[in-house]
Amino acid sequence: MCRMLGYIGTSVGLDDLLIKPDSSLIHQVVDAQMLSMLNLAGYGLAAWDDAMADPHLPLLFRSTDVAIFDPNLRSIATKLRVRALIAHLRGIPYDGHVAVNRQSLHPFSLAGSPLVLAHNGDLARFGEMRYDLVAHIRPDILPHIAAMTDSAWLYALILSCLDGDVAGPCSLDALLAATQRALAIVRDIRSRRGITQSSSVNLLLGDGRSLLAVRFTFDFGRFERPPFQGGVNFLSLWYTMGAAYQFADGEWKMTGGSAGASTLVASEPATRDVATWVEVPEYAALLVDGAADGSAASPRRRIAALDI
Amino acid sequence: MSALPPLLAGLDAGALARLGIDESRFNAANGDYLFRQGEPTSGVYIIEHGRVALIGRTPGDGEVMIGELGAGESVGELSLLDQGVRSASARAICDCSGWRLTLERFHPLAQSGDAAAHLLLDRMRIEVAERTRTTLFDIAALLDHGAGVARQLGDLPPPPASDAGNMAALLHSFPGFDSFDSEDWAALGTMARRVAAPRGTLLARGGDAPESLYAVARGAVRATLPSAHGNEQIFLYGPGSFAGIAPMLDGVERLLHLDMREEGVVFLIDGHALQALRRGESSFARMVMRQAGLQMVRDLRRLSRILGRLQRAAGSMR
Repeated sequence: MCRMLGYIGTSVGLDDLLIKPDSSLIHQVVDAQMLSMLNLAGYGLAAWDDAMADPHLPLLFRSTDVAIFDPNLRSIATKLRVRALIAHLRGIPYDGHVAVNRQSLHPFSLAGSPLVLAHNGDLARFGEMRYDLVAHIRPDILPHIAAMTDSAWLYALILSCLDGDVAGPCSLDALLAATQRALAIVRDIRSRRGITQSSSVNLLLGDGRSLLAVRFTFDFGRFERPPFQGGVNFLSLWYTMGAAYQFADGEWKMTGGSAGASTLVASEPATRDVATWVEVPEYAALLVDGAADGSAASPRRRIAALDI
Repeated sequence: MSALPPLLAGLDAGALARLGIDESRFNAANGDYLFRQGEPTSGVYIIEHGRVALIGRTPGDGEVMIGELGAGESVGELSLLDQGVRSASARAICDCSGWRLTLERFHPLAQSGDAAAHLLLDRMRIEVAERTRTTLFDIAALLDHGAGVARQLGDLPPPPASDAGNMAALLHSFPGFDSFDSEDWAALGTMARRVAAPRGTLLARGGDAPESLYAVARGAVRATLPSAHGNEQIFLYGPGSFAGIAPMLDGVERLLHLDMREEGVVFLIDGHALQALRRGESSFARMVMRQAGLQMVRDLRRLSRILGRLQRAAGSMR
């Protein structure tokens, strides 16, 4: 299993998001609150800020080092401010059969596309499904799949399900529709292959202007024999919102009211105190529009059902 | 103590002494916090004089008033059922006094099977069931204004139930069931029937009289609340969970539809047999009711979060 974090909103220090809170993403390498596994197989991030060159494209940084012990990450994080971020810690089963390499690190990104993806979960028996997906992946995307992992192929599949040019901007609704199509394809292949094992697909998809957070599991509760690596609960996904994410009154929190322009979404809250965090419902997606003004006509945040 | 508050009604002097009620009085000035959200639990506060506000924190550094309690009412019961952290803050809104039922005193009594402690646990579970129903009504009101997310509901009829068979084989590895011994499994087996159902099976409909508790062994059961705009998903119960507990305890009709969100196996635990376990008169009964209490508190904490989310959604639509 993995841990991930997405942010969109007012400009904030990268270390405020990734390092400083008492249960921040880098603490979750070894001490996640809602997952009884270590996340040692590397990390990565995609960051956007208006002060960067080509601000519509993300800064991408990935390393097979263990995030909490990587001084380069700490150094970068203290100097960078971001207005959007998708970050990911990779965790893998403790069985020695999964490769630790840079190609398998999230967020996945196709050259020229502003859209990136991070995945928390795993598709059981993916090796049996992989080549069934080929028929659903666009020929111009297929050669660029970075790794043999389920996450890399899910990214390619979702891009392939988008209408239009993957290099251009796409609406949140179009991204949601593509994700739903991709999940339906995966469900169909699992069904044809007789794969019924519980398989989590929590996703963060973003292009720096908007963020889609998916909380979904195929065949939840259909576990194989114990021990159940990663636990028996529906894989968690939480969010919080406000005007600014900052240290105030002795704690890290969103301030300025819940109608504010900033949204933080993560596999689990970044603070031990979860009182001001909200769960994304199971089988649902949180859509965050970074450009919306928060009015009823253009809400910044909304929940959509995933009845797949 | 003069007239006993409802939580303690009927307890004799010996029981009150064992619970340490008169030894643990509290006094709070207007504005004092009895406890704060997120703190570890220390016990229940029973109000004799004054009023206390329950306050929840919200994203964006806000607060929301959850409710107000007065003389004879108690606050902090969830903590005795799950010993978790405080799910809200309690603040005196005038000078208050009363009694404390401390976790330190209560927990060993409950562990030893003390009858008074189990009577209180039963009352607290019923209180949680009633609060669950009240919160569901609050959620339903928001859904009627279009604040929710409609879900497709399964409508396949449930297949016939069979004998429970080997329940342990399916359930023993899940938390709570892992401490059952062979006698416990045999006792549970006499109360249960087994249903293997495909995705989309409607197990129970809102408005039905509660007859069974559903122990999920494989797959997932979803609980949805009907509204004019569709069915809002409220709970999702995976293996090792109990679905539909609150109506079994308060005896009122179900508010929620229960359907199989994923193909699986559930055990239907007979409602009459469950009633006999409520006072915790055997170690088996105490284990089952402890799990039921934990599930009810998890459900109520979750309902509070859903209510908060829907209130914000409703606010943004105005």
